[in-house]
Amino acid sequence: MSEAAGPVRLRANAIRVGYRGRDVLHDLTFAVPSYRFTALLGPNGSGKSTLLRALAGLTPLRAGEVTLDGLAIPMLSRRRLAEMISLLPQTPRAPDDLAVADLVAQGRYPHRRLFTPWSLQDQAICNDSMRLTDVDGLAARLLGRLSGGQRQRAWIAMTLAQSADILLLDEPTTYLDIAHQLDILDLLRRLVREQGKTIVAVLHDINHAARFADHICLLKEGRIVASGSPRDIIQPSHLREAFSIEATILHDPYDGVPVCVARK
Amino acid sequence: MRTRDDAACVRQDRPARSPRGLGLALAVAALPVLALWALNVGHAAIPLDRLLAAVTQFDASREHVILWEVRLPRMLAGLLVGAQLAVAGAIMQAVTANPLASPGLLGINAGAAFAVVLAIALAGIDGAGTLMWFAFLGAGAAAVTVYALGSAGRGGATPLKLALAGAVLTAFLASLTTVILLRDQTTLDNVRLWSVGSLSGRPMSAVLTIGPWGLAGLLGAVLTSGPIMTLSLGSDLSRTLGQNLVLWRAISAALVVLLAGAAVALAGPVGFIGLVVPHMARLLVGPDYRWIIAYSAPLGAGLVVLADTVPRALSGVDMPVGVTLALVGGPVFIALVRRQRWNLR
Amino acid sequence: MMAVALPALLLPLAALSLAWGDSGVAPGDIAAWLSGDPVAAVLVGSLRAPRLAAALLVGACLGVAGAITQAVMRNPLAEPGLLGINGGAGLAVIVLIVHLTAPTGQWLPVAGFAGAALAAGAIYALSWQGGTSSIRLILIGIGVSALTGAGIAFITAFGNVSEVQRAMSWMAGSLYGADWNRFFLLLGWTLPALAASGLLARDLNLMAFDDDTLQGLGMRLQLMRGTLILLCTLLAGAAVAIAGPIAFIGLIAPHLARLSAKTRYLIPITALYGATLLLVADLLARALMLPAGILTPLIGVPFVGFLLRKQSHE
Repeated sequence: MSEAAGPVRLRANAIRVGYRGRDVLHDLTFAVPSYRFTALLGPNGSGKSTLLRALAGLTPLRAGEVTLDGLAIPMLSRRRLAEMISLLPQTPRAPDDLAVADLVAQGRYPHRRLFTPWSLQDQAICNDSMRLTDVDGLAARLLGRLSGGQRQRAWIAMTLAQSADILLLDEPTTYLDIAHQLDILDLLRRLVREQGKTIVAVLHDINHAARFADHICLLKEGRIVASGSPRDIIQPSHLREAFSIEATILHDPYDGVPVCVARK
Repeated sequence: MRTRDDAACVRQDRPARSPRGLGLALAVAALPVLALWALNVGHAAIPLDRLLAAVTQFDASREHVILWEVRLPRMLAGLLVGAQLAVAGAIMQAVTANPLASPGLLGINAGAAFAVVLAIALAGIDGAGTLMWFAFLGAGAAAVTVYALGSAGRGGATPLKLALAGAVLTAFLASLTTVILLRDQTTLDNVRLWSVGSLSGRPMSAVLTIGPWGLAGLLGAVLTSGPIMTLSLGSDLSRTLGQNLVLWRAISAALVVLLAGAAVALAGPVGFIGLVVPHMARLLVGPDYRWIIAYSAPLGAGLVVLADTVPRALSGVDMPVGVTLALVGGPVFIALVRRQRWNLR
Repeated sequence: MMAVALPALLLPLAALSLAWGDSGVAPGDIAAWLSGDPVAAVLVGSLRAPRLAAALLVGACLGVAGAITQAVMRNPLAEPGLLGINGGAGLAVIVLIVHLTAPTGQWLPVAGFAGAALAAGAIYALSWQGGTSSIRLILIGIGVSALTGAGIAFITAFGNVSEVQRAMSWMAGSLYGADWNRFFLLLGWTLPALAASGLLARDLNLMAFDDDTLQGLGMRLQLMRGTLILLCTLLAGAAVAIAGPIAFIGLIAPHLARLSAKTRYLIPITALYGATLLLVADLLARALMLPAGILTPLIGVPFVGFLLRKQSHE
């Protein structure tokens, strides 16, 4: 893991977000480490998804701003933004009678203008995305006929086909069995290492975050309580503060990765 | 959408048991006051003491006849129709798990209208007393057809299939009705006041013959509100709880036909009560359909009598109650939709 | 395959429509018209041909407007009537006929279109709360339709009975009064709207996705939704102006198209299906001496039955 991260591209500056008079994020500042896999952890309702949506420019801000390469997000057109940031929502919806290949092809939307025909390059990118997520064998299947895990991987393939530098993923491993969870997390790590992507993902499993992420950001009640490398963050004191749990931290004898065992 | 609302309601402090009972008692107690006012208002106001005199010492004067033959049946019809439609709507919304369901969805209004038009045009029947039975029959036949259509195929009568079948039959019957009305001006003239939903000119005999059916339906709804509540939890949960889904869906459909059929027979197709009143009840008492059904009856009854009486009291105009309700209900409904921030994120 | 079969079906139907008159089917009429016979020129050229043209245009407009409504409302059972088109047009026309008993003939299409546009605009404006959403559009549509319906009911109940009947016959929807002037006027604005809908087919297919995904993909969601609703209003409003409210074409045509074609050609195929369906309905209407709008539900019933069956098998 190289320590020299690039200059920060995506940044939240003292943002405040609220629904119906209740603030969900309180003047939160967060610089997304470039070329890193960042995991957002925190209890339910701590503002993880809201932060992710704010980073994608989908939430009106009450105060502060989100900037991409120094420009406030509202200054960029939706399409320009989509060329650089792709988002996988928590519960994406598409018609059940859509084929997987057609779903993935929609990822090319921001790269095509009104009269641009479908190109060989578009097709190649879609094929790559489907191969990476292991859905290339399901290309002709309809979404409604897929298992939960297959559907989730098809959606991730669509997000990849957008070929944006920054990927924001809201719980990408829900609905997946343990093998596919590891596959997806490994894929995300490889995308960062090999293709220089920047990834921010909301995760639920502390141990997955510890093993795969380069950076962990711990949220509680709309504030960041700790942010840093897994070794720094996976500590009993931080976990007590964020989740109100007592945990023992062990280390995997095989590679030294911290493993959290929650006691109560 | 609904489940989210329910969750929100459950999380909030639920109204305690006794205030809900007290509120119901208050709502029922308000009805006689409203009813007396409805009897009082009209071309010539009849003050309270003379109302009393018409009961204790009936003297066949013009005033007493108007009271007994015009205003009393009209007021009673309003109470019955309002309570029946509101309860029928609450049952529909519970069973279909759809906040937009209302009795009209089962094709009941279109069936009644078609039967009435057919009776006038082909058999030359007139007189509210006879037409009423045609409306009742038409409503029942339409509902049975919709139920049969909707239970075709596997899975039986699912709420979605019922709604679809109802929409199709409604469109079909409405266009047949139009065919007849376009060719027969006399029938159009006879049927048009009925077809917008109105309480005027209902003889006491009509109220007395149709009323018991509606009352039976109301009683049935109150008695079965427990199982209907269970049904509203969704098919999986209700089956897990040991409920016979097919049986109870059929029972609730029969109740809706009885309630809404009797209402359309008395007043013609009156909209909005069945849609809006259960929502009002839900705002007051939360998601428990036993209370929603109990509250819907007095709320619906009061609202219809109010909608029938207020235009008369304000301007002396005899607005058909169906029009008044839609004119008031439309904006209220739009405001409700705008207040709920459905799906905004 | 359908792209060939449909026009092949459309041609004989169109010929039948041109040859069919008061004295039965006379294919000779078409030949006489083409060879310049003056009687046939009036009969076919100014009576039957505009009716045929109107049926095709209105059918195409309704089909495409239906496809747009289903996409924007995210509901396979939506049709343009949900946007208040029919209610608004009906209210405007019945007010014109019953209350302003002026020389109404040529004003009916104008009133119909204005009413439809006003109702659709009101629904869009009332649904706006820092943006619109599919569910809010549907619900507000129901509320506004109830209001226009109450207005129509009130006038129906108290207006002069023969004028009410005249308004009812307009509201039944038919192609009786089609003429070339009106047709070309409407062609002028529906053709651009049809073409724009075809160009936006890609975005239209996407509208079924959820809001977050759409915006994540770079769609300017509110702008696109507004544009689509505007197009739908232009198309359905034009249809209602020519022929009065005609139900079910907008519901059925997109489903037929989706059953038979790849999504890329959805819009043109939907237009073809809409045109064919309305032409069939109009031919039936002429055989039975009824307004075409009354027959479209009859065509719609078996189709929705089929949809129900399909749904229950999956």
